[in-house]
Amino acid sequence: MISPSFRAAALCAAVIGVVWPASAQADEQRKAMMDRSQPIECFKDAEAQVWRVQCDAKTKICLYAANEELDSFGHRAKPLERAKRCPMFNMRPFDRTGLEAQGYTFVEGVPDAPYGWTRDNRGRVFQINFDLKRRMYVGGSYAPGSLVDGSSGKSRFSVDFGLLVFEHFGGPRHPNRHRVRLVEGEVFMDPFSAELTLAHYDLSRRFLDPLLRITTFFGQPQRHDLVLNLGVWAEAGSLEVHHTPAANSNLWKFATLQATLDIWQSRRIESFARIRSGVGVEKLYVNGPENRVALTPGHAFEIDWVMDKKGFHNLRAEVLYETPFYNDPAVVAGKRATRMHAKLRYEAILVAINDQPLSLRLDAGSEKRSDVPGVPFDWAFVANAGLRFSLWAPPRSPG
Amino acid sequence: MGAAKITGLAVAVALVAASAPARADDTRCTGKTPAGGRFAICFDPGNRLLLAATTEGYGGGLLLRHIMLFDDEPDLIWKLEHEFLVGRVGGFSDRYDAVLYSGRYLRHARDGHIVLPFAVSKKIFIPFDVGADAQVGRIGGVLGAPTFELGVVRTVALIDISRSEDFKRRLSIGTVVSWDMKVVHDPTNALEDHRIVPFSTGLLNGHFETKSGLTIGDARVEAGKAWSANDGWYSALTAAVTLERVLIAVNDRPVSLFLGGRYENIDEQLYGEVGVRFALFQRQDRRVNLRPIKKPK
Repeated sequence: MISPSFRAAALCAAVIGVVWPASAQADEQRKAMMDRSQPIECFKDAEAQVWRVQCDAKTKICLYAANEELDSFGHRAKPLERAKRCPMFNMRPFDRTGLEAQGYTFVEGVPDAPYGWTRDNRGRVFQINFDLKRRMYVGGSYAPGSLVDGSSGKSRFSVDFGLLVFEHFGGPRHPNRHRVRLVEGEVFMDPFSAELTLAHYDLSRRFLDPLLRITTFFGQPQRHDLVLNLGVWAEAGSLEVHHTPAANSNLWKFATLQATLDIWQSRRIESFARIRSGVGVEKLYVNGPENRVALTPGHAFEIDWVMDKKGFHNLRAEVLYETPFYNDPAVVAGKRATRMHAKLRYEAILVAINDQPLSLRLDAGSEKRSDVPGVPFDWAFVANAGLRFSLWAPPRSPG
Repeated sequence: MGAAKITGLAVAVALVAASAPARADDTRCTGKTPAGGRFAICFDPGNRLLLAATTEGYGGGLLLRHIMLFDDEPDLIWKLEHEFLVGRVGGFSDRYDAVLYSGRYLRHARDGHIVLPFAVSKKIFIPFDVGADAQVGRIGGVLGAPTFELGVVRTVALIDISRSEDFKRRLSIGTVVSWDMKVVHDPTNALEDHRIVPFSTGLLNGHFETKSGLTIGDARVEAGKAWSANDGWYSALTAAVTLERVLIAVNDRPVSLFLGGRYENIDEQLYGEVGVRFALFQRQDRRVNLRPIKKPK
């Protein structure tokens, strides 16, 4: 009979045995990597083994590396992945002695890797730069708070999902960024509430020609451009579900269309600060006779900031103000209601599993609304701390 | 032995007999008639427009699958499977169900690994592929009932320990996130209940296809806890097994016998299913050559 403690110890030993040899390899000092933007040459040695060599005339250092990945014993195992092709000089012998006579020092390195990737000492490639604006994700988090219905949700958890997050930048000649999000939402448990958006599209544009340019003639004449980076923001099929002791409410936002004005844009418009304003059509379904349609003007201020070049740290903030106007005055909300919310979200990549990132997500938010029956018109607060697993997330574009 | 058991045994024997290889050499995917005509004996079951008639209903759907390759990383592939508008209604059952879209995305690499983003990134090797299942817009229910089920979204974060380079086999383990609604058919369109699975059920899925694509088997078990907005936490168990065997082909489009079984603990019902599937359109398997044989001049 094997005791549970023995099983646990054996399992730990097995895991350590599987993982440790590979991770120990990673603990060695990392060798210098060849520069992909500089020429690399390949030569065969006397044993017909191919070597990559890159010499730097300024530092007088030549990096050399096997033209194949190595196994754990240091033997050549398989072709390199994602390495730059290098010309083979079969006919010309490699003149190491001559180069050393010129003052070059030979140092063992690792082959080059493309932008967003690196190599370990065995030449194995892996991704170290992630674009979280192109991915599919699913996550879970602990989400305590004082809720809109006045109750406290200390044991509240949530799951969040996005089936497609995709952004495309048109380049410097066509500086437009298209953002598409499909089936994105979050579901909270105990007490229950949910948010879902079936389709989202927005377009940020950097206008190359200014709307207005003013020239001043005080001293040296100077030109001052007034640029209005206008864009569009649209959502279709949004659903909010709220369960309160008074009623269960389902708010369908059929369509929302807004204009955006970017007041700050990063070079590739991945990061921005903007205001947006527009109108939506929605219908609130309540258990009972109070279903009603509303035309909803909305205004928001948003910041979306990728904080580092590798895409590991991402910050998002939003302040939203909406005022639904109902076609039929309701007992609870009257002819007009108010919704306000503010959200701050930080997401940081912790590890990547097979080059697919697992990230930490921290949220803080506050909300005040008068449109949902059973919800007092007071500020509610909620915080989230959880993990997200993303698929795809290719390297961010350089620059 | 009951009649049901005898019928089940007969079907099983028929399937085993039918699944015996028609040719000793399965790699040859093009048959020839004595007159020189060619016909397909291998099929690609993942790319077809399907019609089905089973004891659980009449229906169909569009199935697509493909592999993404990368020139600069030959050992990395993405295996992508998509199903659009798969549904069924009628038959001997009063149930109906349909799914707007479901997909499976598996990233297969020769070297599985975890990257730790320390100051110097570190790489730890792991022996599995990673991926996800996704499903959007499922409806299901009983004809004439006052409510129906609406599956808003379902995703499964997967690891595949079979690490197959193609779609022929899969042994995956995953954790499920899903959100289902119970919707009332009345003018208020009230959402009566919500059922959430917040990574609280585990999924074990095995899948195999023969090289010829003539026989397909799939088995899955999902077990754990789910949460209902009305009733709180409850145990959830679903098990399903399917077996499909191509018996004949009409104009090189396969007609297959389909056998399935499903158990759900929520209604404590065991469902059995027998029927046929017909590929209205099917992408020709790459190994099949149906071009006419040139006659010597």
